[in-house]
Amino acid sequence: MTEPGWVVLDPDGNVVASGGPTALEPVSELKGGSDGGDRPVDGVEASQLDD
Amino acid sequence: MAAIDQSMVSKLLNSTTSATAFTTLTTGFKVRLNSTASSASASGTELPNGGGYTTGGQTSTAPFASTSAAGSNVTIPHTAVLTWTNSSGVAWTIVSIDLTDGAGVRTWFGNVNGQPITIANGNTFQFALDSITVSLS
Repeated sequence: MTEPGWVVLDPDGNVVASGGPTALEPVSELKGGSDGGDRPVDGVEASQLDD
Repeated sequence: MAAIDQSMVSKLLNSTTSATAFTTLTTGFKVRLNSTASSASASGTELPNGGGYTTGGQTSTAPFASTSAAGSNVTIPHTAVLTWTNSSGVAWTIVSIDLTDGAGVRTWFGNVNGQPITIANGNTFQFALDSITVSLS
C-alpha cells in the first residue's frame, strides 16, 4: 500500500479522505505537466521530451 | 507552470552564472496553505488566520527537509508530520501550498495532489512524512 501524501482525519482519528504525494518541480511544463503545457523548447522536438 | 518563485529563479540563475552571492535564507521554513492556486509571481489566497491556522503556515521539527546529494530530490516534512485541525467553524478548502523560509520569503509553490481538498470544521489535515517532493530535474 502506498503511503498517502496527505490525509484528512475526523475528530475520532478516522481517515475520511487521502491523497498522494505532492511534487514541486520546475520542469513540469516541459513534461506536459499539470497545466497541460506542451510548449516547444528551442532546438528540441516535442517527441524528444520526457512524458 | 514553474514551481519556483520567480524571484528565487533569478537568484539561482544569477548566483550560478556570476559572482553574485545568493542571499542567505532564514531557518524555520514553513508550508503555507492556500485556497487558490499560486503562481510564479504570487502566492495563492492563504487560509484565514485563526481557527486552527496561523498566517504564514507551519514548520515542524528539524530537519524540516531531507538533504539533497548528487542531485537527488528533497522531501518535506522530513521529521514530523505537518498537521492542522480546523476549528474555524467553517470548512477549509486547500488548493495549493507555498514553501517559504522563516522570514516569509517564498521559494517554491505548487498545487496539492488531488486538490481541491475540503477540510470540514473539526477535522484535521496532515501532510505525511516526506510527502512533498522538491526537485530540479
